[in-house]
Amino acid sequence: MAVCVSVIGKENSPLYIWVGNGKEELHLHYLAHTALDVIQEKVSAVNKTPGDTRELYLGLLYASEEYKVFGYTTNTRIKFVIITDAANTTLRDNEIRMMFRRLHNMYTNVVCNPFYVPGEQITSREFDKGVGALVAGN
Amino acid sequence: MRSSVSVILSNPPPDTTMSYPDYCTNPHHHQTLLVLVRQVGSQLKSRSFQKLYERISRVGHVKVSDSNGSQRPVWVTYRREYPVENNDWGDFQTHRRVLGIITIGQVGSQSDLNDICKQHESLKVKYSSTLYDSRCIILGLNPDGTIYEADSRNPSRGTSPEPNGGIDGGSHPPTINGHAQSTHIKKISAGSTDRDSGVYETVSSEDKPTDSDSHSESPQGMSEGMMDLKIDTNHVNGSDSGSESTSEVGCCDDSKMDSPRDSAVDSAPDSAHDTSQSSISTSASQSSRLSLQPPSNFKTRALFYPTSEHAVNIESQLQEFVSSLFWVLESKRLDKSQEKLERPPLLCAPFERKDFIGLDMDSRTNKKRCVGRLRKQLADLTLQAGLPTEAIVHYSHAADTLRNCNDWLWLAACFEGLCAASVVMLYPNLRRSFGLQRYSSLGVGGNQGGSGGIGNRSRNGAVNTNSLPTGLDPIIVKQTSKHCLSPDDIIDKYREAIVHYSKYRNAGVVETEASIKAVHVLIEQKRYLMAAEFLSNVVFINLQLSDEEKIARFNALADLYHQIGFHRKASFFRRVAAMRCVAPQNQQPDWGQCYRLLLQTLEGYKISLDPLEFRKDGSQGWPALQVQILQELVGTSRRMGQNALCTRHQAFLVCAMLPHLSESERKETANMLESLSARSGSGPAPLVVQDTGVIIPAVNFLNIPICRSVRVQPPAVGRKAEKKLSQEAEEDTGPFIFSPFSSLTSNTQRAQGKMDFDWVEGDVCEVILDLENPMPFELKVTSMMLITEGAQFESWTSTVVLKAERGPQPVTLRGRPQGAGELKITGYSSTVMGVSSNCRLKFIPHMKIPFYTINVVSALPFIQILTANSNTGSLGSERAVSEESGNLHLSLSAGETQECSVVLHNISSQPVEEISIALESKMDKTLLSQVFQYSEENIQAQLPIQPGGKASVTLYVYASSDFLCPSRMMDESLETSSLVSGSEPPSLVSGGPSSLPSRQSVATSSTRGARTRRTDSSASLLSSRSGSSVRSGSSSSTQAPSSTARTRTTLNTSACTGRTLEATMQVKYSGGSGLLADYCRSTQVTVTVDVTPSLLVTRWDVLPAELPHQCYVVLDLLNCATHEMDLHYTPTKHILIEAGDSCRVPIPIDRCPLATLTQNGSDSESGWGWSSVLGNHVASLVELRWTQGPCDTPGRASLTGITFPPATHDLITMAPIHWDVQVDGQDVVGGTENTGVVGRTLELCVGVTNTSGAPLPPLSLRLTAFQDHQNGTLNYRLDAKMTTTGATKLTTPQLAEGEEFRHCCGLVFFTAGVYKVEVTCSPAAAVTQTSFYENITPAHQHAWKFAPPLEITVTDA
Repeated sequence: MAVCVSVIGKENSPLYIWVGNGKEELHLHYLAHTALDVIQEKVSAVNKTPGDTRELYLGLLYASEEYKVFGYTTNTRIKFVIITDAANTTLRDNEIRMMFRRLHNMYTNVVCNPFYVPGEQITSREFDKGVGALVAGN
Repeated sequence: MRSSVSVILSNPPPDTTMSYPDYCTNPHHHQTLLVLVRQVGSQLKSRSFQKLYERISRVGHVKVSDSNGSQRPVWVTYRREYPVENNDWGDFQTHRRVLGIITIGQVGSQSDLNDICKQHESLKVKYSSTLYDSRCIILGLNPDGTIYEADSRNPSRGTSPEPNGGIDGGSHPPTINGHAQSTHIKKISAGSTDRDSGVYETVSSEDKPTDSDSHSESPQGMSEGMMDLKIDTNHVNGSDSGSESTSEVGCCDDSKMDSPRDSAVDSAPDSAHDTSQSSISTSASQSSRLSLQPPSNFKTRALFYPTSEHAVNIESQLQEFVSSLFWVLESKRLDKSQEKLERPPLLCAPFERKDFIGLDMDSRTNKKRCVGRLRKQLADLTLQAGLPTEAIVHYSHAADTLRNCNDWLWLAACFEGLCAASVVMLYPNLRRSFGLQRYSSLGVGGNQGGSGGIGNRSRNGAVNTNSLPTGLDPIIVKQTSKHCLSPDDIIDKYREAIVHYSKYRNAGVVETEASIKAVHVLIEQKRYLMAAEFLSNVVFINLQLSDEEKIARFNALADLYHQIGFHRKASFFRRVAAMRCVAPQNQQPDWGQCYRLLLQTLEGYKISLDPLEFRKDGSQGWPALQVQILQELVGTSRRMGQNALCTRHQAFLVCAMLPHLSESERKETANMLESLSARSGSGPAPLVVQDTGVIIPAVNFLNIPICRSVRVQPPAVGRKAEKKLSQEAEEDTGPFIFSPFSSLTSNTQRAQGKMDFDWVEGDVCEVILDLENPMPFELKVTSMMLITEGAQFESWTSTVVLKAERGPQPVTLRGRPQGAGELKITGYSSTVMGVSSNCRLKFIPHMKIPFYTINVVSALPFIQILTANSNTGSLGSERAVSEESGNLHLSLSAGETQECSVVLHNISSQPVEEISIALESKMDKTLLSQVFQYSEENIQAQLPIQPGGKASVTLYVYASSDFLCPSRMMDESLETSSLVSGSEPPSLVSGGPSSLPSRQSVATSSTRGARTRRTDSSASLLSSRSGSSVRSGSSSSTQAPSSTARTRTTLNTSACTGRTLEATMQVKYSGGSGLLADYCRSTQVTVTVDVTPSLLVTRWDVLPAELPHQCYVVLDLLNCATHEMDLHYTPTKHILIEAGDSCRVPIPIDRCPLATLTQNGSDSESGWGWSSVLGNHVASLVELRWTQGPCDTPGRASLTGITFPPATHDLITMAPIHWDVQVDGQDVVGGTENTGVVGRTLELCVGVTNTSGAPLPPLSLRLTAFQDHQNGTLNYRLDAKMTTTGATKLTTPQLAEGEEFRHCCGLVFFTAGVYKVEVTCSPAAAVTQTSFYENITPAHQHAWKFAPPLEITVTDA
């Protein structure tokens, strides 16, 4: 499934990053980071066209030789980036979409915590567990 | 020359692929003519070349009117480098052909010139396959070919007769093509027959086909080149000077003499003349000058300029050159468009050639292919010739043809051309943004500046609005070119072209360039996402590139990503490029370049090397990556050997990334920083990176340690400076206690950082910083000191070690103000881990106050107070009171007096010139003045106190106490003691200040109540001593010993406690410059006196004395002290009282004259006034003195505050009457012995004189005889013992002032014995109520007695 899940804050700094075992962590960081460029571009393109029903799922942002980078943005400009192995062809677009939706729900739960200040690093154990389940595919 | 040519020719045969892509390519390049501009020779400085190159580059657009008379825009691309391999692709895409060459060189000698000519020719050979024309710009020569001399004004005559030495010639602006004019012109005419008329065809283009010719000429050229300069000179000028025999020296001399003036004259018309090449004016004088001759095989038009500044007509020259290129091109285009070949030649890309070997060239498809390709090339030429509309038509036809024969490569090229032509039509501005951009010279260094300049794409669309040529309506464009592609089509066609290119391995470069062109178009269309797709495709194109070119490629990608606004991606590629520079497989790692590239990546990672910027920026970026980049920067700079930079970056890493580092990482980075800074410390000054001019700002450790708060300490209490006159007027805040306006506006702002105390110049001042150590280890902060502005301030450094724990740790920074004025504390500097930083408070994020302002007062003296008890020791035993405020503690018994000397020691460097001493206490003012006394004059006389000097003031301390027994004690004793006869005294005696009104009223009421009891209780007490005296009261009570004893016990147990007197001696002083500024200092000594009780007056009464003007005040005295006391109660009498013992002493005093009573007491309404006046009278007369203890400590006490019950008032006051008693005509004075004989009449005459100030009402006078049995019994029943003649009771008339009433009667005694006669006078009963006495003692029935009673000793005859 996914090799990297990251939650990126409003100011484009990471709030949470999960990187699969045995992966080049920094490389995935770079991928997620550069994906922000595309997200930014996509979001700004969407904003130009009026229309309230904005699709939060941004689809495939770009693909490298090894990985595919998918993006999702909330209405509060929190971005989710999921990176999957390019070799994994079983993953459908719909499944990715579901993953993002679950991730969004989990993030909502984190924000609902009165002790969490939005914009801070996410250190919730519940969230960790959720992401673990998410990437395991169940 | 031959050798150099052969070197060039011996280059490896051209590769079939292009060597590297041009990353700055642009669709408009399809339209341009490629001109190579090269620097030749070794003399030219690269800077002046650069300058010239820029001038040349500006001539990028030339308008030429064609044969039909219509304007044709001609665009030129100038390149400084162009690989020959790329030139070989000229058939494939004609804009890749080098059409012209411009060389620029500087000459100083003939050999230079030869060299330049050689290089120029060899370049021509190199690009001979495509070259149309060339120019050679030669600096350092006058237009006529003579050597330019820099200081033409002052030609050094004869310094160097040798021609080679004269490198410089006269100042001549323009021009001229140098060498043998006659032949050249001829050749032009010859060339022009071949080509279109009007073209200035140069020698070279004519010569081009015959390369062999030029080679064959070379021996001759060489021989000419070898010839001496003189010969050249003579050769050119021969016709003018005429004589070969003229000596060379002579020629030179002539030329030097004439040159300045003549050349100036000549130059003016030349420069004005546009096409000056035709004006060959060689005057006679010039002919004699030193002239250089290009070698004969140099068949290029050369332009001679003395310097680059003189090259004013270079633009027009270039225009001419470009138009010459254009005409060649145009002619070729026309040729191609008109000719119908039977067997069209097969054009092919370089790598295709071998593919066609063995193929059937005559097949139908092949023929078609040839035609298609030819058509495509025609389209290329048409586009270059400035006819895009036509080009589009040609392209579409070619595309149709080529598609049919599956010629994908050329089809792709065709599409690309189509796109280019459309872009030229649709987006003419696309060229503009890149027109002046520096062209990528060889690979690596070329793109350095790219990220900054071109990068910022404008999202506002300002560029887009003007994408059509001005005055050209979009609709017209559509109409004029119906084949023109729509914007979307352009992209589709590009995509298709790239797909086709990708089928050919050798077309990688073309594919890359096509992608880049597409990206440029997409940027223009603002379709950045699509652009990103094309760019990411570029990444996947596999090219065989050298490391250097790979770096250039990543750099170019980064630039392009930057342009589409993908800064992160751009930085990513920039970093990849940087890492390539130092990759392990790289043979020659270039750390410097790596570093420069890394610096450029910072922006994309949101790193600003200024920590202040970095923190302020809300977007923090991606910490993990930031740390990585910074670490790479550190490593790179270390490998570069730039230790200072390295330290700076590491410091930044520690400082800025601190929140994102784990504890162990913090430790690690800090350790590294320490080891780095040990090599090269980092100061607070910005660093400049070499070569790039990038400034690395200073890193100030604002957060290591974290400063939580700054507390400016006020000076110590004694050192505080005060305004001498408190001029500080209370700010008028209006009638309201709270006003929202004032609290909103003035107060809050004014209070910001302004200290409400002053510092004093020359004093050590302190600021406490609360620092927090964010590091998991002990932090050593060295050379920490304050940064101040304003008044001069000497900061003292201190070194602190902060413990590795959370929470603020206070650190004190000290300094000494050096001058008066306003002092601003703006921050502090410190050195942490070898990095010194200046931490300004305004930059510390959580510090609200940017600076603290303290007023510094001019220097003031400072005194230390020493005290010495003058009784116990000399000055030697002075002890310093603690610095801030003195404390003097004395322990005295009540009534004791002590002298204390207070020494003021001036320990400052300023003299004390003014001093004032004041006592402050909670005590009553009068009491204070009673207890403490000092001489103000004395201290004033000792001024000024010089630095180091001393002055002393003596303080007299009297242990004042209330010697009258406290009331509570008396209340107790009221029950126990029968001595007190139940009358008022207890309540009358006041322990505290006697003037308290409340007490007074209480006392008054009790006095009133007492009146009822008056009959059965007399207020007097009876002592054994006064036993003989006449009693005022009727009843008698006499017991003493037992009751005295009991009193003692009660008194001992109850309040024999002492009290404490406290006062503060406030010493205000000033001097030196501070005095002028009206400041002073104050110090204080607190004097505490513990008063132990010594003597108490427990009870008192008044008894009549023997003398009529006196009375006895009888006191019960209790010695509360622990020592025996020798009490002097009158000047002559004294008594010893044991500790704890009580005794009763009578003190004779003068009675109070009635006058004082009426004067002082008249204002009081009640009798209480009399009481206190009488008390004062008594107190003023009685002083108790004693010595006690082992040292015979003297003491004294007064009876201040004593009061007396009304019953005793008559005793104390003088009687208003004066008695004049005579027995047998003899005056009776107290103690006079009167004798009588039994049976004989004694005549008693009593005279009453009114001594009061007012008339006396009638008085009743009474004479009573009695016998005193000396045992307390008085016998009034003397009926049997005596009788009287005359009245013994009578009423006097009203007596006026001073009037006397006299009454005589006779006394007859029947038995012998001692008789006494009491003479009493009391107000007559009838007038009692309204009498004058009522005023005096309302509560008491007055009776004035003649005292002591008249005593008559009667003897038997």
